[in-house]
Amino acid sequence: MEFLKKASFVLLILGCFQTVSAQNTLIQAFQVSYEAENTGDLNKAIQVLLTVYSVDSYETNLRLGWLYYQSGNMGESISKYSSAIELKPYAIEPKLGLAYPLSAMARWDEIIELYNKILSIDPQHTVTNYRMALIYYNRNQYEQADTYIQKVVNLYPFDYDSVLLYAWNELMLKRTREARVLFQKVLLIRPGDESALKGLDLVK
Amino acid sequence: MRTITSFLCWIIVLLTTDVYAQTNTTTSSVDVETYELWSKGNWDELIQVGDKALDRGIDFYYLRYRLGVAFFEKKNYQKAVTHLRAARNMNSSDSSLNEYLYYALLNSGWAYQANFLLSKLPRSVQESTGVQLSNPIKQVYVAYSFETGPSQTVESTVKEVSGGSGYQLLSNGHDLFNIGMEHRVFKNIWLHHSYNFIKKATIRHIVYDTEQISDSELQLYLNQYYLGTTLILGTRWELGAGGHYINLIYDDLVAVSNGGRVVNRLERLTKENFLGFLRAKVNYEGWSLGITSLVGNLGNRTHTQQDLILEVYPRGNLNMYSTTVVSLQDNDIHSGIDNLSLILNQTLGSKIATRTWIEGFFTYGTLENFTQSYGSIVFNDSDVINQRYGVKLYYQISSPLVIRIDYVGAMKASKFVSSAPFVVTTPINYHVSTLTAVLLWNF
Repeated sequence: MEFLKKASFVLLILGCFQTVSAQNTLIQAFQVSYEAENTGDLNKAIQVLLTVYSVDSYETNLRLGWLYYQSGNMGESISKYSSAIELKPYAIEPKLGLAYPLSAMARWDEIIELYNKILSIDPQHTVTNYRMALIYYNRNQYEQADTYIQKVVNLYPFDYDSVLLYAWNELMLKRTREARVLFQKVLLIRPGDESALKGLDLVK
Repeated sequence: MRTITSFLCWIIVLLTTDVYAQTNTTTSSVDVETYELWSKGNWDELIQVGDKALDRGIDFYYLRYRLGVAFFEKKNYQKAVTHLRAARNMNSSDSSLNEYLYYALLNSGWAYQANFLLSKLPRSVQESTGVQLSNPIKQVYVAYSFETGPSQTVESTVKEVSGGSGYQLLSNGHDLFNIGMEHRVFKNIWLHHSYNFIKKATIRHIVYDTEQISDSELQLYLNQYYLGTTLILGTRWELGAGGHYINLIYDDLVAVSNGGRVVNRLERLTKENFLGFLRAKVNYEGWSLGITSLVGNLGNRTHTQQDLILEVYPRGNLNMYSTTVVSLQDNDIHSGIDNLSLILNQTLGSKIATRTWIEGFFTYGTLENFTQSYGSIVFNDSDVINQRYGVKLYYQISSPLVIRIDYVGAMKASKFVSSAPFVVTTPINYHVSTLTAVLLWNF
């Protein structure tokens, strides 16, 4: 019995060492990957992570998703980001990551679906609300854009990008009084702003 | 047309977390840089940056779209097609992209592919081009051509021929009336119909022992019907097949028995000739390659002709082009002797002013029962053509209407056909000129 206790203890210690060792290898790989990325060697940054790749590793999948995107391999980027989403289905981070390669490929309908999933987790997520507003604005669907941009401006009334988009959207909806007020607010944030001045000209 | 889809700008917003220095080539940096260049209309630099990114394996929809637009603005439409097609393979739903691709195909001279693409697009995009897809007619044209006869000197020379019995024919000019149409029968299949009526004058000089008869009034009439098909296969291939029917009507003296005596009677005779062909053409950026294989029975001999056609567009548009056709002809496949001829035709074309193009061509080789332009043009004169050259002037009167004036010069050779076997005579060479006017309406 005493022997069994000692053996179990030894095995436990050995197991811990292995886990620590594996983790150290992973950390080293990530470090090398970051360094390679910073010097512009994306291929090396990817290869070093592939040597430690595990399909169950959220972090590795997420990082590879980004690296493949930056190296121009959209197919692999989408695949890795999707794996990361499957591993952490309630995380917003990998969904935002997946938007990169999807947007580069102009797959806007899929992006809208993705963003709706983010908003179901966090309805007030400002970046996602802003981007949804921008997508609908550029599709000339101003009523839909209005729903999203209002949320952002309510949370950040002095944010340049949000207020400007709100102003243009109001103008497209022919709400000229509201548009005028908003363009003037943009000029408070950024005096002399060309876009705001152009908007005010159109309102006249 | 350049509806600047400002959602492109949001790529910048999306990518503000780019951690790279500007010197590293990444999707983010390429996206930012090409968007800026695209916004400023700096096409040359955009092309440089874009090509470099593609060499590094960076390839995404907006890069291809911007490169396509850049080449389009530089009027290198064929290169624009390459990039716009690549973008379309990634995402085919963008109406702005589809519109650019349609006009790039059209301005590349790839009207069939442009029309085929348009038929697959949403109605809103079709309407924006102004093209009536419900109208299947692609083109209608009418033409008139006049060919001169030989000089008086040549005519006199023919009449002085002696040396046994036989005859000699000499072309004395023609009037040609032509009408044609091309129309779509299915999304990717077109038919080309053409009808020619030719009134041809021939001088015939007959020598019988010591007697000589000259007939300067011999008239021949030709009715010709041509039918060609074009099938678009994929994005690059054009396949075709067709035929040409030629009906020749002429008056000739026929020896008939009349109460024990043989007399010559003028009779109206008819001859029928046929041609059939198959062709294939593949279009690449800057050039295209085609082959045509023909068989026919012009001159009552079975002949074959294989053409290899190379078209080059050095600027990726129709402002400058070259067409080289190398033809291998067997004038009589049943004769058992070598009747092979090699014919070379070289055409150079260029835009010389707004709405005006000029084309010059030269044909080297013996044209006898020879065809051009996928069998639609037939050289079945009694006299052989040894050299042919010409110039064509195109003027676009309005968007659909084009007028074309052609001048063609040719050196023909008229041979004395002896009744006695194995008699070889020196041919008489003479020059003729042809003037043609064509009115073409594109739908």
